[in-house]
Amino acid sequence: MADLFDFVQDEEWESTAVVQCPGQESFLVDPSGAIVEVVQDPLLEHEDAGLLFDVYEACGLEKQEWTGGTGTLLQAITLNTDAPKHPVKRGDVYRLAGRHTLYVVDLICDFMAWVPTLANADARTLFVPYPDPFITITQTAQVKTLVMVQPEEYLGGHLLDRHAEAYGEDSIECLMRRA
Amino acid sequence: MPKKKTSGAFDPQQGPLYFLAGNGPSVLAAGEMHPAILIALDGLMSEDAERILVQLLDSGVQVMIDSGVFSLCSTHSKLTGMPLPEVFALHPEQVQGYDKLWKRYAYILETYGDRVWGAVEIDLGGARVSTETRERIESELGWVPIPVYHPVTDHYDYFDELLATYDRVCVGGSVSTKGPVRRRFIRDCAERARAHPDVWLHYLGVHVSELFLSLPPQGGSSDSTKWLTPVRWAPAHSAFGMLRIFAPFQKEIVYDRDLKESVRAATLGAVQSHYASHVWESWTRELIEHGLREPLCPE
Repeated sequence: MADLFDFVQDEEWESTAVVQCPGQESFLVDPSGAIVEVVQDPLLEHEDAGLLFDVYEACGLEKQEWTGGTGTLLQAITLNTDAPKHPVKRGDVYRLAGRHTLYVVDLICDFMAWVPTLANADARTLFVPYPDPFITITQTAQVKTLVMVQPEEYLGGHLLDRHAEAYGEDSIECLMRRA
Repeated sequence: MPKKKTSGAFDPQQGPLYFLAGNGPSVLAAGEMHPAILIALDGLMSEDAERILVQLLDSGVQVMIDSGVFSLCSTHSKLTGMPLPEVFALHPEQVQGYDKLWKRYAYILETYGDRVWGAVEIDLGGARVSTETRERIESELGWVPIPVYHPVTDHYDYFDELLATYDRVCVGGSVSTKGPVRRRFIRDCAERARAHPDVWLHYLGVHVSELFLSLPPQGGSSDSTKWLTPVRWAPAHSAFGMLRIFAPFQKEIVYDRDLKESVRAATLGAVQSHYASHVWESWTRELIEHGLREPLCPE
């Protein structure tokens, strides 16, 4: 049976292995090839590696290895976990880079704030709950429009800090500020 | 029957906690960004390393001590040619370097035991031998380490036994498993532990990710070295959305190794992991506030 499948052997742990069949169930097998259990909903190989290549391709991004970089962006951003310089409050709404939107609202209860934005969105829009404060300095953010919902004021403030460091304070527009 | 309290400066009411795993000077920089660090004992064998531990503790960082068994067994495997899984099954006395590890383990716990967050047991030789070793630690050192359940090799009955006996239990062996298997056993362990809501689970070698957001109510923590991705595999460094790996960074974030920016890249990983840990805490708190989840570790 193994020759019907793409056999993936973990080099560090030889007592079991995952047999994957694209688009179907995967199986955990022992060294004799006997199925120990069926693994439902397996991760695709690139997902297992932590890379969402489907998203890369949808965004028109490159997948090849990089040989290194200049680190200019790494130098430009501040690395700290202190209180953010941008004091955002729950209820605030910001426009970043002229197209991304950051809602500092409760993800569960305040959906009426951000749902209308998604209702009018096109295929280039991505919904990003609890965004990483580094999110706007990604490749994806350069080719997509992000609708972000961040309930945490601390994380929302750091997102604005990192964005301002990369693109300038002028790239941030406050659309709504809580009274 | 009250459960045995594992030793260390542990607060069961604390929210979810992610530990940055590592050793050496990089954890000093990391500890300034995220005050929860796991150091394996093999990274604490020198006086310089001990000084780093002291600095971290003095600065208020929560430090978890791992037993260093993985490194010990890896070394034995390389020296003897014995497959690593077979080394894990050996009695500790049969593994090269065990005596030295035991002495260091005893010294670290006797010296810093009341200041560290907790220490992982010396989980060698399977469930029965690990239990014997744990009893030796408890009787000779007067210290209760956190027991480890290995889903790949241990029976569920052993997990139930640990859950019924201790206030904290580690789930180990994840480093050697593929994503789908890891996801299954984390889910299985979390479901099984629902019968013991007063037990804190620590997932060894599992990075904080969207997987944790859907787990049943349970106080919990994890550790990994994945925060070092900006150093080890910089081109794959990505930003997250709701803790899911979401978007690759711009190329300019990747440092040139000739520029000797690895410490700064490590700091970037620590900062990003601090943000991720914050999301884990925030999401858990939000569910509790909305009545969608029971508080962690109720008395």
